[in-house]
Amino acid sequence: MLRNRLFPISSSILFLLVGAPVQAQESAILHGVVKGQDGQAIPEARIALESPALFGPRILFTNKNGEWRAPLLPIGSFKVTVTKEGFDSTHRSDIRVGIGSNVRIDLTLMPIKSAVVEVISAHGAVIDKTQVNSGANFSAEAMGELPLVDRNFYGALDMTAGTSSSIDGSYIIRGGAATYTNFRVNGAEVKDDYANGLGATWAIDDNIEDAQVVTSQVNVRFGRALGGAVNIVTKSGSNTFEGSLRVKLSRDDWKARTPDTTADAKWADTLNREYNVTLRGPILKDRLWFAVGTILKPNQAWSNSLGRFPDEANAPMQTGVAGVDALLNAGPGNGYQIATFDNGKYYTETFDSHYYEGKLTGAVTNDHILELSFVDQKQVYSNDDASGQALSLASLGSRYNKYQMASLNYKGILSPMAFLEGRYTTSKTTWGQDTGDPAYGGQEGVYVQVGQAGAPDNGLQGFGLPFGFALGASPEVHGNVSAALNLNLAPQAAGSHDIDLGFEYFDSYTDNGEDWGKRSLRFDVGGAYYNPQTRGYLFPTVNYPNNPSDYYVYHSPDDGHSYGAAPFVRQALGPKGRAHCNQVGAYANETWTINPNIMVGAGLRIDTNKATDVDGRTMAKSTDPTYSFIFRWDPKGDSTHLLTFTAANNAGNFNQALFGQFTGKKTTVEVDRGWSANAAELGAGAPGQVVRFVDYQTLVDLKNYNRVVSFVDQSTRNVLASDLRPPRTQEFTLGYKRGYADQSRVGVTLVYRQWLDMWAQRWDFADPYVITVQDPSRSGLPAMQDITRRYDNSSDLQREYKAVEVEFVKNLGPRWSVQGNYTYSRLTGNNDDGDIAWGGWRNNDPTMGTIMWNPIVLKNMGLSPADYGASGTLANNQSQKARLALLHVLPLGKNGRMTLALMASYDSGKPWSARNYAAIDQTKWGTDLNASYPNLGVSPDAVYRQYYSALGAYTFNDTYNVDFKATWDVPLSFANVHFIGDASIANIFNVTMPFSTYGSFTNDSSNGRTQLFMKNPAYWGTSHVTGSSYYTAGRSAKFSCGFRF
Amino acid sequence: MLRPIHRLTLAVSLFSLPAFGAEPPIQLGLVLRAGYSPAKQDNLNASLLGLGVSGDYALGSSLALRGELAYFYTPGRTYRADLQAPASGQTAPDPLRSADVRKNKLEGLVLRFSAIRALSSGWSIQGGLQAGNSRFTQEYVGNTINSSRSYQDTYNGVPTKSALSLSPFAGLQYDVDRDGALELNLVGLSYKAIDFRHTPGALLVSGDPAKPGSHLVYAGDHLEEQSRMRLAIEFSYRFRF
Repeated sequence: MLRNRLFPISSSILFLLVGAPVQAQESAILHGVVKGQDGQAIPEARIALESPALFGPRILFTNKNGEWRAPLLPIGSFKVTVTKEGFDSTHRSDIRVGIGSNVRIDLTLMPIKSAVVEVISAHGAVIDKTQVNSGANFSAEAMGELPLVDRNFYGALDMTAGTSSSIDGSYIIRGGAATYTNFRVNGAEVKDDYANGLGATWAIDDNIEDAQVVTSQVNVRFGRALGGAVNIVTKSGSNTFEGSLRVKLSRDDWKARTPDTTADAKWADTLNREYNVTLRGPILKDRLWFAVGTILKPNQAWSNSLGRFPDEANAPMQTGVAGVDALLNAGPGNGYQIATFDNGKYYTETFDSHYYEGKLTGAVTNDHILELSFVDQKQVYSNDDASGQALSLASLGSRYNKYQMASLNYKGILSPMAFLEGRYTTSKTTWGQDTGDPAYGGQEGVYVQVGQAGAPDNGLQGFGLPFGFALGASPEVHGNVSAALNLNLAPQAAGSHDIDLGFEYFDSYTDNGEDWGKRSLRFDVGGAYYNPQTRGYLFPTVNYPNNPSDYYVYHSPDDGHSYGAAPFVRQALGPKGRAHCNQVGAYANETWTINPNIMVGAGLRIDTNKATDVDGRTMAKSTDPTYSFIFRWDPKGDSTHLLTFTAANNAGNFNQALFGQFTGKKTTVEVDRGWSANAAELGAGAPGQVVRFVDYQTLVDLKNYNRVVSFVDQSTRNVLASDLRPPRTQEFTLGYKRGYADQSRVGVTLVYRQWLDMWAQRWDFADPYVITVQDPSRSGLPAMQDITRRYDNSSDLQREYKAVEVEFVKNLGPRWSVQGNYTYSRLTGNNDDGDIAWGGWRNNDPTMGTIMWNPIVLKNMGLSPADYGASGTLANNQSQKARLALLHVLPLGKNGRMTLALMASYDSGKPWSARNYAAIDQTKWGTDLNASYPNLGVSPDAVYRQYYSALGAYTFNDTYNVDFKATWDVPLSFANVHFIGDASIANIFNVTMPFSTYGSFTNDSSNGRTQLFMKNPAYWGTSHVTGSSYYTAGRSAKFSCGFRF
Repeated sequence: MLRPIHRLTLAVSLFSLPAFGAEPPIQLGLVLRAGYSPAKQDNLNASLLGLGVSGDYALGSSLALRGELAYFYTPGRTYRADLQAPASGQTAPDPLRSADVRKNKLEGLVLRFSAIRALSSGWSIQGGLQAGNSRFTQEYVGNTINSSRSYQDTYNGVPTKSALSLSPFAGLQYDVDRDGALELNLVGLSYKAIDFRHTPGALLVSGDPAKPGSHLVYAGDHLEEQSRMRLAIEFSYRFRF
């Protein structure tokens, strides 16, 4: 029946009403009621569920109320058959369930010999009233046929109401920071908790069975979601061999020109190829299935060049002592010349990658299923300048990024009313760096300045690493481990109950590896001389002066360069190890369907969060409750009209993105030392005693650096409040959903979400912020002053999300359908990022990085947070977002189809507010802070600024896109092989908009007046704009084709 | 085959508020709206978005009245405004160093009242009035300087103008099925537009240009108001509850 075959396309996007109260994210529920023709419930009717995704039919019986319920179902399509003595059997086919789906199928049995053999409840299976989380589901078909951003996480996110792309390109859910969006594949969290991103592909598009976006997690079973979650389940095998081979093609010269394109620009005509291969089938029929896949990409190669020094780089060195300078610039003689290494030479870098994923699904019995899945991916850059500052071809090497995931899931039916799930997952990201020239063994890093060593920072120097990069002699590893156990009970007492009891353990960790080589040392030297005959190097040295400012021996340890002739070494003394943020949660969740019209639910979860430093020290520990409530009214009892109210308090967790700022690693404790091995000091003694040319081994001998210059100890700098706890959200929603008999549906949800207990960073030029720090190397250096950064949960930070979210699907006939969403929202407050990971006051100076609040001095001056962190629309506010997709399905042959999809997208521009700041009037400080803290390395008058954020809220340009995609699946005449593929054009009207028009206030140096700076004012509005990334992307095309069987 | 008049009656009465009891005479619905307005006036974009909640009340067999609470939004594109003539005695702004960047938008929360009369085969005609508050917003950011630097003006603001608007509309409705209808309307969208006017080189009236955060006001700075009527084509889909 054409209609039944075609409708799943559009109806395959299901709107979750508010997630299955008892469902794991990787499974689904079917349930319903069996009644007779007279409307009376029929107990003891036999329900048989069949699906290619099941090892065998699932058999169950209706209870005394005619109800039946089948949890823990795999994702896929089902047939439900009901039989009862005295009645004709009846069935319902092609029932699609997605991740977390909770689909109701009501069936009516007719007496034997009745003319009607199948009657389905008029509005059944459209929307389900026992869902409690809100969001959207996307089947494999929907992901493939809609012209989405991609067929993976981001495509699903972009097509869901309540989401928006953030200013840094990642997606946020209901105003939550990207830090708090969870990404899971087969139950495993794959987001790098430290790098705060996905980093890699985690599922082959053709192997995705279903994707689910959870915008609001009302079921307390899952924690850590102050934003939301995206869950992907990959395809399992079955008793039939299936698979696909697809080649994806794109080409730069398929892109349209944009105003950014210069007149003489030429597109690369390289055809970018990627081959996706998937294969699924039985290993043991009805017992063990497999699914595997790989992505194959041809190796890529491109040309690069080493840094090129300016011609002036051979200018003479200066220290300010004439005799010394003459000696330095004469060089060591004996055939030694100023070394320029491989200045500017070209080289070819190559990129290679491999990707494998797999899944094994086994049945211990039909009621006990085990599932193991994995992803293994590696990207290798060869002949690569990992440091970005290589000076010699010999120092080029290989670096790699490795992404791995494994997930073990168990689903067991203990009895008709008791179900058990267990899960263990792990995912890991490994960054391996090359260590430079193998001849130097990755022992240490050596920065060499080539060229003029005189006037500091005059742009005439070249810096680089010709010998050892020593970025990380051992790789950096981030990852997580999780385990969970859930017992679901479904007793019948005064209605039906769904009770979840369980616990969840989640631990994310970071291992920062080594820094600056095996010795954790980085040397800076002001030049090098090379003898082409002996191929040896000599390096000029003078002792590091006791008063460096007296000479042109300027060292800047903080920016990593030595500008002078005195060598310098930074020793990293911090601890090495693995930092952890873990959460252990226990929960109970009950959903009580009192009668066909009313459902109430409540949940309580208690999490213990703990952050542990690399040395095992507990940095923060808290116990945090999450609780939720849901009330749903179904006035007709048939799920066609659902009115839902939810209230939830969601606790967050300590995560690596946050704690990476505080946890220890080698570079958190550093001591800087200057060269001291020469016979005489600068300005004292004969030049021959002051200057010495030394070889490499002498240069990197730590014994020659006994003049301690400065130190930093991050372990004393960050102070966490003893009662520090994760931020949390409170959310209230009121939703109305309407489902129709043709599987069309529409929903409107009002959302209010606020963030509480967000973290404030405070530091000040006052007690207790200023502390005395002892020399961590115990080298005799005098103690130093430092300013501590103190973190606590602050009620002064505000962030709120208010929205009207609309989602709809309309089936206009057997071949046409429309679907889309619209979000009207406001994200306001004074905390721009929703957490402190990279947060800042709204409209604060972005270069300041983190939230800064100088509570004592500013308060004493009568300034309030409103003065330096005004409230208003936040940077990620997107007031309007709309998606509208029109799909047309053409049947091709017996089982084939072509889908044409057109999607219009509208995204309103993000806000920008003219901002400015001024140094705060020092006369109001009361005391001379500059004089009070002379040794801090930073002046109070450079820190205290008063911000002016209320100069107006503007919006960047809105963006409009119309995208087209044609997808085909054509059966061929042999061996059940289908020809598949798609062709898509993004932004077919080539609407390109400048998205960054405004700049900021700045001072005009010519007259000292404040003026508003606008980007490229001279060129704005003309057809060609210099600068990159100034316009939105132009039209582009993609194509893929292949076979499935 | 039902006659058109009966189809309308079916649409209006049989599916009236089925969820909330016994067939009340009011049929609720949710409307999603997209529109096109080609006029370049006020630099508003050609697109229009909107949504609303409506109630239909059947009057006899072929006529129905509709009330709707609706929100509409017309975004604008960023544009570079023409620089005004300089103040007396001043030279014109240097175009390479001066700019005035603006963006407008129009939105409104309105009540729409209309009458619907059935035609044939699911088609109906409708017409009515949209009344409510329209709000026009202009974002402007300007920096003007002449080549001799005898003046340098910086100005910015986000003024809004709310006005009671009355807009007529008329169009067609097609019942896709009993659950929903497509609509095509022509609407004359009335509103009050504002446009900031600044004379380069005019005397500074208030504010201190050397003080950050100081809002600068120059002699002659003002908002020009214009009453507008903007023609738009609306495409709507109405989900019947």
